[in-house]
Order: sequence, then C-alpha cells, then structure tokens
Amino acid sequence: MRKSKTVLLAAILLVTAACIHKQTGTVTPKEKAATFNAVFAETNNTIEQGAEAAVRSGLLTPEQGAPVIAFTGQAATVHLQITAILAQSTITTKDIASIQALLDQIKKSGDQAIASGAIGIKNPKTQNTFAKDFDSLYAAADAILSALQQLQAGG
Amino acid sequence: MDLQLVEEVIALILQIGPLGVQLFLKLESSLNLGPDDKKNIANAIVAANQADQATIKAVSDWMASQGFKPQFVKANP
Repeated sequence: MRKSKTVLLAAILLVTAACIHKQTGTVTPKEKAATFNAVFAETNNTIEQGAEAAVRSGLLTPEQGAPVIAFTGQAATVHLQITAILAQSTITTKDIASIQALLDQIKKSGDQAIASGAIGIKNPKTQNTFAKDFDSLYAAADAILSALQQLQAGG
Repeated sequence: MDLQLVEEVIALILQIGPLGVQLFLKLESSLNLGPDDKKNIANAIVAANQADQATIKAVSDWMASQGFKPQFVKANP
C-alpha cells in the first residue's frame, strides 16, 4: 500500500514537474535555500490544517491537538525570522549560525509537542502519523541548512 | 533546460511523502521559477511569508475558538 502511494506520488510529481522549472542558468545555493524554506513553511501549514481536521473528526481531543497546533504557530513565528534573514542581500556565517539555532529551537519544540499525545495519530491531510509529518518538517529544515552550508562553502 | 532545482525539490518532496503532493501543487502555483535567481528567491520569500502568516492566523483563530490562549514563543537563538 505504501509502495503504491509512493509510485502514485512520483507519477503526480513527474507529470506536474514541467510546471515548476527553471529555464536556464545555474541554480544558486541561496535559491535552493529559499525554495526549501518555502517548502518548510508550506509543510508546517499543512500540519496545522491536518491537526485541526483531526480534532474536528474526533481523532484528537482539543487538548491533544492543542500542543501540535500551538507548535505550528510557534514554528511559523520563529520561521518568519529565518525568512527575514534569507531575504537579506548578503548572508554571513553568523546568519547561518542564527538560522541553525532557530531551526534547532523549532525541532526541540516539535519534539515536545509530538510527545504530548498525538505521536501515533494519523493526520487526515497526509495519511501519515503526526510524528512522521514532524520528521518531514525536520527534513525540510535540514535541506535549508544543507543549501546554506553550500553557500558558506562558496558553492 | 536546467532542472536541477526541480529535481532537488522533487527529491525533498518525495522524502516528505503524501504530504508532498499538496505541497508540490502549492509550490507550483506560487514559485513559478524563471531564469532570474533574484526573482526566484523573492518569490520563494513571499511564498514562505504568506504560508507562515496563514498558519499564525489559523492557529490564533483555532485557539480562540477552543478557548485556549495562544502559546507562541519568541525566538531566542
């Protein structure tokens, strides 16, 4: 079942890939970081929508859903600062360290939120558990940092 | 045609799993990548800010509707 979902996902992405493309030129590390940063914000938004849906459908009580929903608000608030740094014309080593610290702060809050009871519950929006969705959010965070490390290395 | 960024986004989205389908469709409509890297960065920044603002508003509205106090924390790296 999981394999078929992955194949379906890959097929959808391949069909639509032509719509999200860069025509010419080299993709810069900052471009990658900004794109992955948008992926992070959209992932967080989708988790929030899913947590609300889980409460509406009775999969989570409001008390169980609240830590996850509050976390997404906290993550978005912190993430606005990361985006503000990425929007600067120049990103220094100190800026990258600040972004890493902010992402670590988000992960730490996420681990606390997911431990509060929603860990094994499936997000109706993604059909993944919330724990898995948080892993996805962390993967986006790691991708931002990886692109920034390329930037730092002069790539 | 340079599809390097597309490939990397797809790789990340595949890693994300089913969550990625909706994500990809949102990104497809909001990023609209072109040859100008500065414009692409600006579009991505706008998309990130819009998603974050939407999340913050949704959380605030939900918390109020449930009688919870918003529990946002200030960033302190």
